[in-house]
Amino acid sequence: MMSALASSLPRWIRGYPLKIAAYLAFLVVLAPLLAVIWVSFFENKIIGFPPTGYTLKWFVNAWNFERFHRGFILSVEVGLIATGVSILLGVPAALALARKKFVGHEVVHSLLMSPLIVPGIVAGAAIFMFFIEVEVLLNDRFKVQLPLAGSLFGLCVGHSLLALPWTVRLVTASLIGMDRQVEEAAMSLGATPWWTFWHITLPIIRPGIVAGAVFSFVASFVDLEKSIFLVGPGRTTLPIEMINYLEWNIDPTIAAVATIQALIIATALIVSDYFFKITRAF
Amino acid sequence: MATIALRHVTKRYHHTPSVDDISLDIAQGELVAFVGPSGCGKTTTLRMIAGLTDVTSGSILFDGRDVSDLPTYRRNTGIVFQGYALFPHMTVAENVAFGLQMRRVRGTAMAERVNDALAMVRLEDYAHRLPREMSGGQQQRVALARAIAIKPDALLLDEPLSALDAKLRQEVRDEIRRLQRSLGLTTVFVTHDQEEAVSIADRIVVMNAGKIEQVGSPQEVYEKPATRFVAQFIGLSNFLSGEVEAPGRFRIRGGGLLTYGDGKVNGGRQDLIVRPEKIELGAKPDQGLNHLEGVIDSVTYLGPLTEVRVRLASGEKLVAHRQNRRLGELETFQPGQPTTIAWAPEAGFVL
Repeated sequence: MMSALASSLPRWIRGYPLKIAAYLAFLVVLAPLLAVIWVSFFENKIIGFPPTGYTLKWFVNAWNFERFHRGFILSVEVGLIATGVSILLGVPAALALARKKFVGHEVVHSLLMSPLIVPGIVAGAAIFMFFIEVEVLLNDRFKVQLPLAGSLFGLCVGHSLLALPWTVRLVTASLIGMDRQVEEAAMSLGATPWWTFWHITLPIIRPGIVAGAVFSFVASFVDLEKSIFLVGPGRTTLPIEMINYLEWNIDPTIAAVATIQALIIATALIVSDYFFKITRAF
Repeated sequence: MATIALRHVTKRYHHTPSVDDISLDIAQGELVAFVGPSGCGKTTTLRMIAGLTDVTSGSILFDGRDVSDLPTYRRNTGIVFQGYALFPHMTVAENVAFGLQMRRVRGTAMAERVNDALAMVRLEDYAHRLPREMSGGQQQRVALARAIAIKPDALLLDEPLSALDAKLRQEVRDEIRRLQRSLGLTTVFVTHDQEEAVSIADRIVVMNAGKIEQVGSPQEVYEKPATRFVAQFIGLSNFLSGEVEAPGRFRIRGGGLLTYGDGKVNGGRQDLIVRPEKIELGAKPDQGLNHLEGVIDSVTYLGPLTEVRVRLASGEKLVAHRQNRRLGELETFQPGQPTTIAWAPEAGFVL
């Protein structure tokens, strides 16, 4: 499909030049990823060019490296929890934002979107300090010892925050794009508002919810900057394990891990798009 | 199927009335078209009958029973919207079945009623399609089947044809009329298109600025408009300024004396109204007809008819419609040519 803008361009641009530009942009986006995947099969002990040969040993190496194993499992756990929280809070929030007028509407919307705008390092540091202060406060005032900084709970709170804007954004978009007369039609046919919500509204905005969930998970799964402040000893997510590994080694093991990571994310996107047509949410 | 009554129904948004104290009785099986410009309150009225919008004051009765406080899902109305509003994730059959499910119809009874409803709009073969796989006209027929499947007390149609192209519009319009008649459905049809209203309705309600201007049969509303607004909104009208001298005698600006058949007789400055198709062009002076002389200002070919604008001595312009019965007649009318126009006294009226 060619947009109105594209078809208003001179004819000589509309054909090949425009297509070439599209493929070029695609390539720029894809090149680093392709490079990483390629390097993960290099035989060279130190990443270098050209490859002296090809091997699968880095994948085996990554698999056998205990810390990656544990990091991966923690990342999946935290990712799933953050996704759950993001959906449970984000869908009702999106409903309120898309459907209701209330005092502070814009403020609430901006706040929910802020994790996308505030740099991760800044947000991570802020959450870390906030946790410390809450711990101190609880200890001084109520003599309660509640570890937040460096705890699994703290990590999940941080990741939920970073997942939330994705759900809010994508579900709001689905709701705004939805014809509300469809709901009115359902109610005129005898469906209560509750029944209408579960059997009409929810199925219609499902692509937005699934897209929100997938992006929530991905945002959490790959997060580095915030997590640096939130992980604790013996409780480290995969991206941070990768940074730690890179400090002492630069063999292609890291490329192998990155390849697996990319593969998992790509699979999540493709599978969810196949079942829920999440591309319709954009 | 029921009678519908509106009693002093009013809707205010932030104190400005959108619908202002309207009362109306709709008979069982009657098709009433609400027509008016956008913002006149016709859709708000339909939404209040449906229960999708609350009334600020007044009441709405179905068969004498006050439903004003009932939510829409307890009212048993079938609504068809301009944008179809089909459930996009359900098949055609599931769409039609939805209202029946809410009424706890099950099994073979359900299958039969879904099939009957689809047969009524001739879409039995499309039961397993998804709405997006169908054309606009077909989708609107599914919406119609969905609305009538529940045997509604009132069928409410909100601009149901406006999203369709001209040919389909007529087809779906005829379909609606045929079903409405055969099922005896009490129907409210909202439209901004006066031609559509005239062609489909038993009675027309002309609304303007939240109030009812006139209620009557299509013929009454067209031939005997109650207000200047109705005369302008329903069809085209010529307004000749002048004075009523005596009952039936009208002196136009510039001196000519005309006679008219109907309307108010009080004197003073008035407009004489006459419809374009009632005016004959190039007519020989004849006893009993109103005659005026003028110059042809413009000639516009419209296919079945030609619109001729005639400038009178007073500077006022009148529009006359002429059926294009014979080829080559058009050439006899040229801008700048003097001509005479004439109409029967009973075709003119004063408001």
